[in-house]
Amino acid sequence: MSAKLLVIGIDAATWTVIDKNIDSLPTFKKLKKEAKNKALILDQKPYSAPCWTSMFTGLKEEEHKHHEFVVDNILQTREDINANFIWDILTRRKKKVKALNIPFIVPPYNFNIDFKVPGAGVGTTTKEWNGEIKEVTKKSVEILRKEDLDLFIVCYTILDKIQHLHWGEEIVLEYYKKIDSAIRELTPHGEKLIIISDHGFCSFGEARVQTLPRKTKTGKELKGDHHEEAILITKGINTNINNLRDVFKAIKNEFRN
Amino acid sequence: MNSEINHLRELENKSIYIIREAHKKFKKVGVLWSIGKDSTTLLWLCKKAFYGKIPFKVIHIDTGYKFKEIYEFRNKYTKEWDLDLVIAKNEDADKKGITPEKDHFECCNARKTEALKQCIKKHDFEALLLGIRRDEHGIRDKERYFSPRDKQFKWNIVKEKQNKQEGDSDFIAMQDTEFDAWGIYATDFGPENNHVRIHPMLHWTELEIWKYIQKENIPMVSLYLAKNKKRYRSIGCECCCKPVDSESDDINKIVEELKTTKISERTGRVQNKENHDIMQKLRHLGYM
Repeated sequence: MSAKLLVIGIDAATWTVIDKNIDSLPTFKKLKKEAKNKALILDQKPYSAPCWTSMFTGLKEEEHKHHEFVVDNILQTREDINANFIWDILTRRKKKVKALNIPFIVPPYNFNIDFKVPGAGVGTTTKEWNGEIKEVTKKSVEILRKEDLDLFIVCYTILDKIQHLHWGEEIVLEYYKKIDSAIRELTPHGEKLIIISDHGFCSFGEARVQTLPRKTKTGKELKGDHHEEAILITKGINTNINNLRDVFKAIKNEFRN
Repeated sequence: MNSEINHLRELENKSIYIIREAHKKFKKVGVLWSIGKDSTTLLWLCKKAFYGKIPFKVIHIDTGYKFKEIYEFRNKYTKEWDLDLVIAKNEDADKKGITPEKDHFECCNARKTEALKQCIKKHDFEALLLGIRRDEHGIRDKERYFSPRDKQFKWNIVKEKQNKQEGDSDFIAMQDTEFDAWGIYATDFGPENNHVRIHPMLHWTELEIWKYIQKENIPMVSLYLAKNKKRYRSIGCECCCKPVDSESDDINKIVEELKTTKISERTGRVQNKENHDIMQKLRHLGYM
């Protein structure tokens, strides 16, 4: 049992950390040798909500109009986005699709899966971060072992939060290692593969676009911010992916017939 | 001043046109009346559209948790305006002990959505008039004047195309046929839909509503007027609304306040606990 195409999204994963620590990240090291990989330079502002939405709807931010997780103090939901996502389209074409923990909204969205992620996709403690990696990986493997799917999409959100709070600290690499192990468990279950981040990461003030304030409303000082250089690894994918919207096209092209 | 009156008249004309169109196209129409400023203005427009007597049922979804001022207002104006009032209440919610203290979301779902479903079924409504506005909330920005709801009460924008030929799209758009500028609206959405929602006030803003209330002298629930420097900008269930700081104790002052305020209309609405915790996390991470 497996998925014809496995997409693994890793919020805020950056080559800056991976390349510098490649010997400590055996799965990434192996994938860098065996699969195509590159830095994907975003042509839109590196905000998570619109980036993930563009990736899975194929629409520009000004087309899908989903700019923020919260509008007028109200958490946005799937129903607030007037667009067809790749899972909606492929399901109508009778393809078997499941998606887990997709962070274009908070809490992250699940398609055809009943799941509640620890930390609701905005975890701020080690308990929530460990919980997300463990539960998301467990649920994914459980599904992929049991079912034959056309497409399975799964995302991890924790690196983004850890890097915002701890950029430059050892804990960042610690969690890249955990993500590396999770990918090792998942990749054997996909015939074709896309691993992608919605944006990269850097120290605060280094990025061209500042996405968050240096000091949050609860008084926390943020150490890192989003960068427009995302990671991309593909295996068996023929479509050229040059921006986030191309991910939608690439997936659609895989199921053209 | 004249241009402002003309502008309000244009808004009013368009709403009345849509209300009359709804009455002509659908046999069983109901108008939802939450007793708030928007739905009361909608009722006023319905009265004007039919020269004083509304020719269809007026539905009040009674959650059992509304402000006492709302019930008093409802009872008074049901008589005064000679309304054919239907009170929709989900009695099961009481039996099951569903309360806002336990879970706001579950409570809203049972006492509002479910109550409305039961009411539509009981009275066989084909269409409902609602006083929503585009400027209220992101999703409403995308709404249409005539908007079908499917059997699950969901807003369906497309349906799958049958007998597709090569080159055809997979779907038929059900909502892109609204030629609003020409006053042409799609009203026939087929049997797969449960009912059609009609939004005659979609093009109004909060400020325009208050200017119209001021011009027409429409009666309003007193909760909107400031007492002890607090007033409600949005009303509903007592447990889910909080007043905002304001000194506007009459309609003229509300109009002036809204010209300059930067506070959102829905600020006073309570969220469920889980969402509240998530918002705290977002604040902690700097997203808000």
